[in-house]
Amino acid sequence: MKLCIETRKNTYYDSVALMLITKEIKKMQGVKEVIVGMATDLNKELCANLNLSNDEIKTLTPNDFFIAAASEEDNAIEKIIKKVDELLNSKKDEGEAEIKARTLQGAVKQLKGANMAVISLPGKYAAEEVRKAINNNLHVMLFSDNVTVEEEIELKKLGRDKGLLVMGPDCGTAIINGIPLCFANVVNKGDIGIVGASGTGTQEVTVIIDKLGGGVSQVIGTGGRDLKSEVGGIMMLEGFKALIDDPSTKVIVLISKPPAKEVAEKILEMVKTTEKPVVVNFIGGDRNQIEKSGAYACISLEDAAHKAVSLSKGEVSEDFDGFSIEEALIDEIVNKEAAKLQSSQKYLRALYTGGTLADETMKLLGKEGYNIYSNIPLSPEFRLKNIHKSIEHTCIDLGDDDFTLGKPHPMIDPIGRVERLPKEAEDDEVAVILMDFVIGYGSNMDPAGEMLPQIIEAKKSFEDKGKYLSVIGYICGTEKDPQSYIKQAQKLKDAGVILMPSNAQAVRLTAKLLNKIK
Amino acid sequence: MVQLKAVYICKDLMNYITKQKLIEGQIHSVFKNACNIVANDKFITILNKNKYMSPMSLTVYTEDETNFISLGLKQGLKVEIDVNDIICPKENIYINLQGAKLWFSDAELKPTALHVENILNNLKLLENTIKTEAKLYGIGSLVNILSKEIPELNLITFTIDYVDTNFDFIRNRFINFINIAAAGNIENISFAAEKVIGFGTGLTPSMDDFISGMMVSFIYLGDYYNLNMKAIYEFNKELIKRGLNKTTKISSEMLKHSSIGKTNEAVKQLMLSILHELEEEKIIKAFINTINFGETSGSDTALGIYTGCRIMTNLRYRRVWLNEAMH
Repeated sequence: MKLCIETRKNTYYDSVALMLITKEIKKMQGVKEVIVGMATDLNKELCANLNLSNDEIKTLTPNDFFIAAASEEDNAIEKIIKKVDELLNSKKDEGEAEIKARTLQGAVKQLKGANMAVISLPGKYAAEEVRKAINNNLHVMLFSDNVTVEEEIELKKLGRDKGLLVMGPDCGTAIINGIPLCFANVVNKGDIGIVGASGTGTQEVTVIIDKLGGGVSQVIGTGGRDLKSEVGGIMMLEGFKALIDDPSTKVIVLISKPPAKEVAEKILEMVKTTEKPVVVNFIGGDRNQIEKSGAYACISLEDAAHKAVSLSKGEVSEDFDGFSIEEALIDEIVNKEAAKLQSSQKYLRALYTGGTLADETMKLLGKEGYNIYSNIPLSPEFRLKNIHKSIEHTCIDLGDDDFTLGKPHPMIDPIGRVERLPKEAEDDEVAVILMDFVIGYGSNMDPAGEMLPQIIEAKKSFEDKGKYLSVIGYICGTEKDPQSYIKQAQKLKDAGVILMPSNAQAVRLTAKLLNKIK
Repeated sequence: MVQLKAVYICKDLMNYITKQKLIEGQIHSVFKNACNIVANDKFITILNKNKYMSPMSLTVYTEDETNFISLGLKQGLKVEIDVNDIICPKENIYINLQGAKLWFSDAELKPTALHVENILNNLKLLENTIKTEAKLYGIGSLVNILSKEIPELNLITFTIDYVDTNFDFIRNRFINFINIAAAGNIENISFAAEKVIGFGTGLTPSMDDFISGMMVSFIYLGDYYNLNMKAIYEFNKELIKRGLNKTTKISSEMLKHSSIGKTNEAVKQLMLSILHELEEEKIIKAFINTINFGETSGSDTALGIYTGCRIMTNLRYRRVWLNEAMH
């Protein structure tokens, strides 16, 4: 009888696996006795009692795994080890549909011909992986935030010198060759190319282009800091160049919050180098400077989409600053809502998951004469002292670092807003709640559904106080998105939310209502 | 990046994380539905959402059923834990702890409307269910001999398809252990327990599961009979003290938790159903939920609970725990 011993230090298998191994080894030809388990003193003693022990087993600790068998066959141990590994591997494979690469190098090996890496991991570890990707000649979409500006500059220069795009850090959206990346919507293919330094701003433009019957060729993200002085718009310029050279792009749209002056100059200088029409939306930027360069300036994200679609058809459109439905119907909605509000109710609370949409909201309301407090205010005096407590008219960007450090973005996990809305509803002076619902890839699978209980509860709490709460919403998305625009809209409408077809229109409706109840 | 969201987190674990602020740990072992982390000598378990909570654990949610092995978690990988999240940087896995509901592992000791007769009936029901449902190839062979060896315990005999004669060497030690445990003999319990702890297959050897169930039932029944709880806790502490280094790390942690009444949710529900439930269906369901744990772990634990309950419902043995005022 041969003694067959296999030991594995600090190795753990669950009891189901151990029982399966025991049963299967017992069935093997020539095996007369077997003990499989953890090397506790008593299990070692059991081995000794059955003459299944040796010096190796004696040295094991309770955290070591062992197989001890007695067999009549000469090479039983090899067969036993092979059998054990087969059994353990077959257990591991359960439920595994695909092989997942564990390293960038592994992924490159596995997917031959890949030319882009999407990198999304905690910021402090991201730069090193981006470097590796660039050195593997991969374009990069860097979803991570909390990457230092020094690293951003270094990586973008490295990419530029190798002719590669480095989209990000904090790049939320891109559509490359028709493939939506990270947060992106399913929109028609077309001839409008976009370079965007703002995630939801870019999504908003692509979605409205789609609704207007247009389509996009490429959507390149840059990350929000790209147009600041330090970074110098490296990727906006590289993306712009790429679209100028792209034969499938007929119209170019550039989207960003107002860039640093010298960066804006560089970008607008490049407008002069192309025959292609360029629509520029530096949200709240200098219109004259943009138009002087030959580009088309816009008054909102929606307006940028309108102008791009018109230009793609060879037409030029005026500024779009109205509503998609007749003004008379809008006035009817405003009158009905205003009539239900009490004179003590006068304030807006805008709770946004999309940062650029929040920024646009404040700018459009600012033009109407409203001062809006925020965690991302238009001017410092309107910064909330306590970002967790709104005052007067407040607009919150729940996706800002203030709220997301170490947490998923609210477009993925809207818990921050779910918890915030009831607090707003405690303030009797609130008249209007304004919210965005961003759908598409990457976003929560049911953003409307997640908020619904709180919306219903907030409205009810006002009703219980003999008051009314007006809730206005906007869904940034298309019917082709996985969440379905129509299904999301129906949920919100059923809960009494007034839905508008763009963020700008939702804000204009809000402004009309606030004007009415002043 | 793989993002998971914690659904429940054990209160003790949250307290520990909050107190420590930032914890660096290492993955100890990974299974399809569970991943164990060792951090500062504490044992933290991440469980799939469909698993019952256990002490120092958290359950996580993903759209699909989480498979910790296919996520790439491996033994030895470093993890960082703070109040917001658990991060495994190497594999880019991120578990958000924010908003996780708290779960309490402590024994739920509360007054019951059930009379002793009801509880004895419930134990009868448990016996019948053990006969038909339990997996008895763990500790079953040993428990089966107790009815003959210690008839005062009034334990049942059940038919076992396969009697493991390999257990013969431990038979007398086990009988001795049960005699000493039943007698509440605190002077000798740690020596007797040391000789049986760590016996059996599995990451939590069958004997340890049995002892865990027995200690938990001492606590619940002790509270029911208004016994000297301080003495019971002291006894459990003594019971495990010499055996902790004789078994696996996972099992050692389980024994520590059980000795103070902290158990997984299935065991807690089984104890509560024995003491509070009159509906047979609910008691059987709680029992089935317990025995579904692991291969034989659940059945071994249930046998320990059953044996512990029989000890405590027997006045001869219970007397030792009477409060001094009741003597």
